[in-house]
Amino acid sequence: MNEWTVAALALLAGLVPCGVVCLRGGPVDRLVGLELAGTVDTLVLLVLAQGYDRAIYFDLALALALLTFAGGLVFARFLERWI
Amino acid sequence: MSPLDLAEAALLVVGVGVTLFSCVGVLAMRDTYDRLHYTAPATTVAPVAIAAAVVLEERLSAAGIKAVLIALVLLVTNPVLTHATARAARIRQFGEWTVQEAEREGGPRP
Repeated sequence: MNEWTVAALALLAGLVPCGVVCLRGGPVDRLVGLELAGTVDTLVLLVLAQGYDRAIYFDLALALALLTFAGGLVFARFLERWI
Repeated sequence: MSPLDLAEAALLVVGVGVTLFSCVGVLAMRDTYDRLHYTAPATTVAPVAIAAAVVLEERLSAAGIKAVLIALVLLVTNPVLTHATARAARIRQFGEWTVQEAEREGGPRP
């Protein structure tokens, strides 16, 4: 355990409120929870990559950041038009 | 502990603290728009602080540059995502994106 993995563990606790938001309220409220969970996950992967000291692991965080953006836009458009 | 380590630890604490605050804020708010406001700190302050901590440790090696790139991607894409979500919430609420008559200052137009 170094300082980076401790930070990752602390960040993981932030996923709990996001999960609770995803379980309550209207569809758009849940989407907000999902988006924030994606951001928190990106930060967790970023900190873990530094904690394990492998430069290649940073690509995971980058891919997750881009996919969260694309997925969020698709969900927003879908909620806007059809449901 | 060198001053550099202290600076890294401080930046990490700032990043993690802001993110946790943001998560609790999203949980505590009632309205969709209020929730959206609370996602902003986690997507602006936290990535910059954590990427700065990584750069302090790694200098501008491959890892440092990738961390900066990730922070930039989060900074650029998340406002767009927030706008799209707020737009979806508003369209679901009012049926259209434009300003409603009841919202105009001085009441509805004659």
